[in-house]
Amino acid sequence: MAQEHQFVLGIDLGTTNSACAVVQAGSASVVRRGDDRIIPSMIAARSDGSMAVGLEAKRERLLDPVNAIYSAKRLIGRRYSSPEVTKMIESVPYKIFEGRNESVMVGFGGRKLSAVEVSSYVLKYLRQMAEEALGQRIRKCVISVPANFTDSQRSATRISARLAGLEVIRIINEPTAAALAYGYIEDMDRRIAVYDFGGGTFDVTILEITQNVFEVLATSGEMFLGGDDLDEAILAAMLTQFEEEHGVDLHKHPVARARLRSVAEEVKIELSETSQVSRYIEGVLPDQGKNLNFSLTETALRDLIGPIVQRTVGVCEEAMKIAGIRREQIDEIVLVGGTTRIPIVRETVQAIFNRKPQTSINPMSVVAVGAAIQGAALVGLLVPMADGGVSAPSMNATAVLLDVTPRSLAVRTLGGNVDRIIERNSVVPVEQTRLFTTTVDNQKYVRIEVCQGESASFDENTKLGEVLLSGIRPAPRGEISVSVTFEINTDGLLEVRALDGQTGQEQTATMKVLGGMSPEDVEAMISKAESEGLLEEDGHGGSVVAR
Amino acid sequence: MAKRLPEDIETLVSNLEDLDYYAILQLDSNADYIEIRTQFHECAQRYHPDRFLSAAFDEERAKIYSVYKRMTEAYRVLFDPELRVAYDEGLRGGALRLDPDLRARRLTGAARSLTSPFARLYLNAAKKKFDAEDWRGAAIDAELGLSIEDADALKDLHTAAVRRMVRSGESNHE
Repeated sequence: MAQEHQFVLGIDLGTTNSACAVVQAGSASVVRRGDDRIIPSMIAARSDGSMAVGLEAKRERLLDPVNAIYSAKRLIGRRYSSPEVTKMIESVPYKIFEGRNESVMVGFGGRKLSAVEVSSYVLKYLRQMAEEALGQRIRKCVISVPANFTDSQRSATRISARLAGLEVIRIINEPTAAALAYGYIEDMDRRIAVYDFGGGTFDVTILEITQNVFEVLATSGEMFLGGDDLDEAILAAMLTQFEEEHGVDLHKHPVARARLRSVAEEVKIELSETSQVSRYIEGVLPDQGKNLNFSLTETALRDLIGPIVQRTVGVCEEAMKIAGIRREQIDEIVLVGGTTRIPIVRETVQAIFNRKPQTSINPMSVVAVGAAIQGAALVGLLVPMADGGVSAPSMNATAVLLDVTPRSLAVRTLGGNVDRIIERNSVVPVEQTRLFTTTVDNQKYVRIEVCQGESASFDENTKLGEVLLSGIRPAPRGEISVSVTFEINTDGLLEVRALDGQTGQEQTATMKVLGGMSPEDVEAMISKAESEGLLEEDGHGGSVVAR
Repeated sequence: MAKRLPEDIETLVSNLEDLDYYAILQLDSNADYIEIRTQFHECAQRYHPDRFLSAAFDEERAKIYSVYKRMTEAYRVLFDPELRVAYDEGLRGGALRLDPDLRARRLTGAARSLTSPFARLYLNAAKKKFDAEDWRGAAIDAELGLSIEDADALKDLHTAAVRRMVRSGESNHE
């Protein structure tokens, strides 16, 4: 059998929407099914118990919001008790509860799934979409994550992909992928601002590219600022009009509101192309037959959403401040995310950086395209290892990407402060070791708590996990020293080892990642998925994932 | 038949513990910083583990990884002026690697806020001169640092030094 070309799927697993792309015959193209290139990152349980993914799930959500899971990316790899998860519990209609090892689970349609599994359904959907389009099985992918994703979020994303039957050959930062899509790697010494305004989150990242080294100078963002907020602003105008006309406050009618919200989203999207949009919505309250005739001009939209878009200005200024550069020192602006299609957003970006942003690649698929380019480059530049014959790596045009650690890694010290072991922006792989001594007499164990972030206070950073080193020889305080080693490998994954070199019998403890899953749990999940045929072909390419 | 790694890598693997940082990056011991960076990037293009993703065996992957990890360690030390001074000193005494404690040295608040090790060097020099009441020297060093990185810590120090310089100039005239 002739060996098939090995495609590497480039995947943008977004908070609100996802997309994937492949490089074919030297150029990257976005995978589509019919006219759909962008898939809502959503799964839902239908009333008959079957599962819907993507657009189908988005439709289900209109009918039954409690049983549709969206924004799983906000939950993945986080601890149940983290502030972000607490905020999600308050703001989403579906159920969120605590699983093993402080992980996050969601409940819908009578089932329980981990955040990792929810994402794996979306990834599997993308994989099948690509397999249909290419007519062959796809096994490898490059998957993008936000630059500020922690180690546990990256690991969890990787596990999601495994559950979806995909091997992740590289995790890539979203802004890096966007820059790759524009081919900036070929250029020397550039600074790029990536303005990523998506459905639910806003991020700005400033990258410096020097001879193929992509360095994240700064990344700032707001976790809860996105296109959804713009929809809400339009919805608020609709609700006000409805109340004026009919004297009914729709705040107590979730289904009617959900319907109007999806109209608001359509109106927003259309206003990027036209100057006025009108919608006649019949039977807003079905049993009472009350209608709404809503129209909005582009000018009025500016007034409605202007204050929200304005919030991105401060975030961009903060990023430039952290990066230690002025706006004149930025060479290019790259737009990512559907919200950047709105004219007022583009104007705001231009005003912030005093420069016209790049718009030649669709901002909704630019990250997937970049991930696909990186995937093809990785496969293309592999060193042939001929049996017997020795071949030196050929220096071809495609270059290796050098990653740096986006956040510092630290341990908790007395008084709740941090001691940083690995500073941010270190080229990976990096291994650092530091010695710690016992702080009380006859200390039996040493507990090393690990966090990621830039704050001097441990609790203001993201706690990743802890290492417990026990069986320490009884001794006066300060006499026993423990060496703690942090190692970040080329995938950006962290390993923490603690070594008690004084008992004679050296012992090593490896970190337990909180909010993550134990290897046993992962294996169990994968074998369960295999036995249910989840990883195999469904035979049909519909958008339904049968269970 | 087992697949083999290119010979130069096998050589590097077997000699890894006998090579100093300059040797592993194939650098001259008096290389300047631009040469160090360029050479590291060359090495990265050749020895980055991404180039060997097809290596079938964990053992080979581990070899590549160990070589490349030592290269990043060498680069991290040699590209940082402070660490390089410490390393060169140790190397004269036969230490092929910088002591782990020094490698994982802690940065203080102001120095941490700077990204470039060179800007950091100027910041430290400016601080020393400021403490020695050499206002002019401190201002010049801070300005040199600012030409590398537009950091608040450097700006603040520069402003403070200039202010003292002006004030001392005034008192000299009185």
